[in-house]
Amino acid sequence: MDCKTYIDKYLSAHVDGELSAGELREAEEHLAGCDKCRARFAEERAVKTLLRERAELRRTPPMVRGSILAALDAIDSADAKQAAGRGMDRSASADRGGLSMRRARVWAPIAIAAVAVFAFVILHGVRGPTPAQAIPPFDLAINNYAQFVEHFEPNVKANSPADLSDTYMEHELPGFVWDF
Amino acid sequence: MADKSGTGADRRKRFEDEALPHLDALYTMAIRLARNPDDANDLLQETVLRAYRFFHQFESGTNCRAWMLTILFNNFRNGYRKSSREQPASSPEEFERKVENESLRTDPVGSNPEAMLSVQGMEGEVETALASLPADFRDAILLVDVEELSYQEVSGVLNVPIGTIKSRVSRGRALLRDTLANFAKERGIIRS
Repeated sequence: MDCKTYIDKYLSAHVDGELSAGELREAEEHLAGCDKCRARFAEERAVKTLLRERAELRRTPPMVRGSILAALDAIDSADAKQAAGRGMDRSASADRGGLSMRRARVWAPIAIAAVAVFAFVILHGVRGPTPAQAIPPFDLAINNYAQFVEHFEPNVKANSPADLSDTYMEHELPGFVWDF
Repeated sequence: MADKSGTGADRRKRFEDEALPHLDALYTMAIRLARNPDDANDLLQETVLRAYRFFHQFESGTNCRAWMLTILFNNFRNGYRKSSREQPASSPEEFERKVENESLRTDPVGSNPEAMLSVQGMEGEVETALASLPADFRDAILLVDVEELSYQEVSGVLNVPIGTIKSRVSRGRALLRDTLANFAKERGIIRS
């Protein structure tokens, strides 16, 4: 093996421990007889060490960490609610009609309350004394929601949230459409 | 229902134990990729939430950091790459020429890496040298040297063949070595 082949094809993988057994044997044979490539191997390893030891590791800002944990909490509670909803679906299937209607009336206000609580949590923060700060994607989502509420024109009877829920139930729309 | 991730509380606990310890590493990578804190925060948040949603797909016992970095890079490619904020890498041809010129020098700078390592305060230079690399080379180097992933894992994270990773590491490190040695020379740590 000549020096160019070693440096171009073997050196980095050699330092990284990525050579196959056969390649490693060839590389070591070459290094045994070549001072220049041995020096080059030491340099390559030093660069690798320098990077590992000196490349900056940044701490996640507490506010970012906090908003991630809050978002995980929101996923957990949404999933728990969905699982509970599935349980109720099964029990409701035995007695469709009155029970489903009642469920719709119960869940619609809860869903609306959940959105309000979620928006409050996002706007004001729940973890620690960090002052509330706007988070662009959530602002956008909240604005979109506000726009939706302001401009939404229902094409069904909609005197109360329960009316809307009942309509969704009657049309057998899947829960995730209306059950936040 | 037989859910691999168990109940919600189990999933949360496993995620906090296995995935969240890598948050700072992910944030550091997000900062390097997005190049500004707001985009990095969005990228990080999106990555962690997606990882949580799909945590049942993570195979316990495999490298969780590599798995999360894969999601981070996927998100970055899908959401941020087209953005004008991302500096385009040099063209492969241009970079090839540059590397060729570097490697044609018989003894690039007569460097002394041990001397370089022994000096405090090379952090700034290391970051500057990293930032000067074309993005593809920098990413491969960071994943191998800083995140300590295998070539196979890096190939998965970046979604490119392992041979390409090998060549990016080799070329990227050669360029980095020369840049760092030049810094050291400028600061009088080593002689030319």
